Amino acid sequence: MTRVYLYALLSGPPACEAGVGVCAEPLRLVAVAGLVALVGDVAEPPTPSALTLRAQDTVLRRLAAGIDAILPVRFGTLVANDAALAEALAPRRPQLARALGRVAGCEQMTLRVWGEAAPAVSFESAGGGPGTRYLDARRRAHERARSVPELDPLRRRLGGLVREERAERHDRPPLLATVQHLVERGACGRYVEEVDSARAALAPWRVSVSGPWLPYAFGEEAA
Amino acid sequence: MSARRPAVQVRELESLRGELERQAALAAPRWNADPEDVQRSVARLVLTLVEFIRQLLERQAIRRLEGGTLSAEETEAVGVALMRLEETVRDIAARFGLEPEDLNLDLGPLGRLL
Repeated sequence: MTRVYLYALLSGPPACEAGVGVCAEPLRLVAVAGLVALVGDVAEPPTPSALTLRAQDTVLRRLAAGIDAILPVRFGTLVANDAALAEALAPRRPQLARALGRVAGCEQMTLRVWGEAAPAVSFESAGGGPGTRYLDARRRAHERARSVPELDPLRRRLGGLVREERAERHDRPPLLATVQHLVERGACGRYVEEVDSARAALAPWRVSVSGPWLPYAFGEEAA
Repeated sequence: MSARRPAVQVRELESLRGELERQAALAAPRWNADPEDVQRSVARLVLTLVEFIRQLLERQAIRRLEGGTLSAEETEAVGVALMRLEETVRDIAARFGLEPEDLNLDLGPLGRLL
């Protein structure tokens, strides 16, 4: 008995044939609630490994070239059949359509921020009682988890090249943070040039850049 | 891409590998009651749900704090309540030999609970 393996949501039918998936199964398109889902029928989902992750990425990249927007779905997403797929996607249609609009015509560039030590954090106590100080500390922790001020000199240079950003702090030197940028297709060369020209201004932090990738970090709604 | 770009150092790659392994290790298991250890399995499930609710309450409190809709007295009371709830969850988890990262659930296509 086969089940439906969901690869991605697309803005429309791809220009090329859907081809075959990670398990060598023929891929097909399913229209669901105004969305186009790319699926394959498999007996078992692929086992997560570097090889199968790369294979899935290759499948999606081939199709991405011929469509405006692609929203990769979390690896290993399996549903019983097309009806179950429709049931899962229909209630989330507005959010998914918004996410497809967000990544339309874009690809993802990834920056890793490296340094020998995480920058010291000092702030004035909020004052008040223990409850107030606790809540304020939690607020700052949430804020800091998504903040990478080390990249501010680069952000000024990247300006209009970046449509959206996702940031995650690790603070495990030398890896300090990962920042994902949504960049218009075709602008990655200029993006890399701007990163290179900002290296001196970013000292003592180092950055490495990779991409372009499919917009994996910008499809939370489809994860 | 560009030849003049400095290469990533070996230490940096090791650091990245370590972070990826850490993230992979955090992948939450689906909940399965272990017949040999039902109490611990149930405690893990219940504490995960309590922790989920605690985090929701914390986010809501922070939103209200940032929005200026909490008075000083309310901020203190909510902060104390959340602080004690966190301590309580941590204490009970420790009694069952559970680490904070154990309090999570894999919800399949929906991702992880926390």
